[in-house]
Amino acid sequence: MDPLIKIENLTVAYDKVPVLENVDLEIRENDFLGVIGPNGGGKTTLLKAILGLKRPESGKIHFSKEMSGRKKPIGYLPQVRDIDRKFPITVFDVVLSGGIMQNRQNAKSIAKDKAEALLEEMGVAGIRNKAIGELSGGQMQRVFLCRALLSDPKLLILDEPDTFVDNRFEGELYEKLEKLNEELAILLVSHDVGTITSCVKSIACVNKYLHYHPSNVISQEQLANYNCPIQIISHGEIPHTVLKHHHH
Amino acid sequence: MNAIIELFSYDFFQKAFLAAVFASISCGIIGAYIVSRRIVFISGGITHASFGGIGLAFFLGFNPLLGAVLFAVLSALGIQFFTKVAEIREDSSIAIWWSLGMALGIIFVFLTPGYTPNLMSYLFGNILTVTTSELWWMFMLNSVIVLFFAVFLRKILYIAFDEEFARTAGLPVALFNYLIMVLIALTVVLNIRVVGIILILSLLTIPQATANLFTNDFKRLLVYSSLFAFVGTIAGLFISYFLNIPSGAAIIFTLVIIFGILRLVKTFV
Repeated sequence: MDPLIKIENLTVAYDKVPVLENVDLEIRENDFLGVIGPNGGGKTTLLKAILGLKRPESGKIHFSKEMSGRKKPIGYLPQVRDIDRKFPITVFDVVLSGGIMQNRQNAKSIAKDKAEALLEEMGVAGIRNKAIGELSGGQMQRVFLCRALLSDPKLLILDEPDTFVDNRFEGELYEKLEKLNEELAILLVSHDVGTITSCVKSIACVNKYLHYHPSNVISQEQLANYNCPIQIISHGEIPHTVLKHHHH
Repeated sequence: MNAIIELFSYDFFQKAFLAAVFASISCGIIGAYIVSRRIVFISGGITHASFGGIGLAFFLGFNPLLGAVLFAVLSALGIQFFTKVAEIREDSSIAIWWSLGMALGIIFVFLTPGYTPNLMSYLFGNILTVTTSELWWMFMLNSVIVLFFAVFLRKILYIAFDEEFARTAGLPVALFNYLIMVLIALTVVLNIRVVGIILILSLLTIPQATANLFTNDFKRLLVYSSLFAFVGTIAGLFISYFLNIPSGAAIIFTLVIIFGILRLVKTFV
């Protein structure tokens, strides 16, 4: 099976200053990849390059056959802090915006039914007519997850879905993602390293360079070798590693 | 009441009424978009830059509205170019085009021999002197705007709300932004005769602020904005006629009063 996405030697720069350099990465079906790293380390830039929102300086991003086309089957949940909360739009319209460009017959009514079902599933059907600005952080994330899922994506890309949410929702979210992962690949950016290591299958540490760890456990030696400037505080029954903060 | 009915028998008043209807629809819709997207300042820049075109037209002796269209579109593109290509901060590039247009307008008007009697009506508007051909242009612009928003409402809304997501969803974001920028430029120019360059920004923002008191739904905002614009424009028109004060100023003043009253009502009721 070809990987869904194969990134080769990717360099992305802002104003000629490279934010990502020589990144190689493969995303396969049913992957659940956690992307961690310091602020400004290039996590979001990596997502934007994959989504085609940021043109790379050099390198290639190959998409498998089922991932090619004008509208790629990628569901995207952007950082909530980038959203204009005063924009006059209802929850239902936000969710529906995830399904435009499906040129099937009855596309509109299919999208509407699907949107209803997703809102129901996420437990936010009751707020469908509310304005986006009236929602709590957890409700916002749920609504944006519905939007990302509306187009039946093969890959779900989430940029810090755990900002502005309470612990209870965070737990629910990761449970939901694990279930979704049975059917699609997930790429999850998070600053909360401890929590994501409990649900992801593999980890990419991004700090200008990308280091791939094929399991959700990283030992201290590995990190020392890779110079990943992160700290992990893990808990619970899952195998965990506690790492010291270190500099690149 | 009889005085009002009698007014409608005058040709100039029928034209003014039609102009008010057209101005309300175009400014209501385009203004709702501008306000939602927070591009009021860009629109102000385009509006004022168009004065340069009016001055040029006076100087060379062609239709001032044509000159205004030319400068409005040019400045819209110029602002984009300055911001994206020349990497000048957006608010600075807007200010540059805003003042450049005004400066050119003043220079051209100064160089034009003789007195330019119409100048005031472009700066402050005079809905009572709108001509038949101007009404036709306004009618065509309204048709284009209503049709465009009716057909592409969802796409316009999705792009306006979250441009990056819209791009990942495969929507032609750049094309839509460009088309709407042209519609904004045309709306501004064709409504200059109603309230004038200096006051037009209010027709694009005050009815929208009033509408926003009652809805957070984009579709409704478009409709309510047009309705509030219509009420304010018509009421302002009557006030201007009976009190014999300039129409543009009367319209804006009425719009603000309506907003103020409804805002207070909303607070206390």
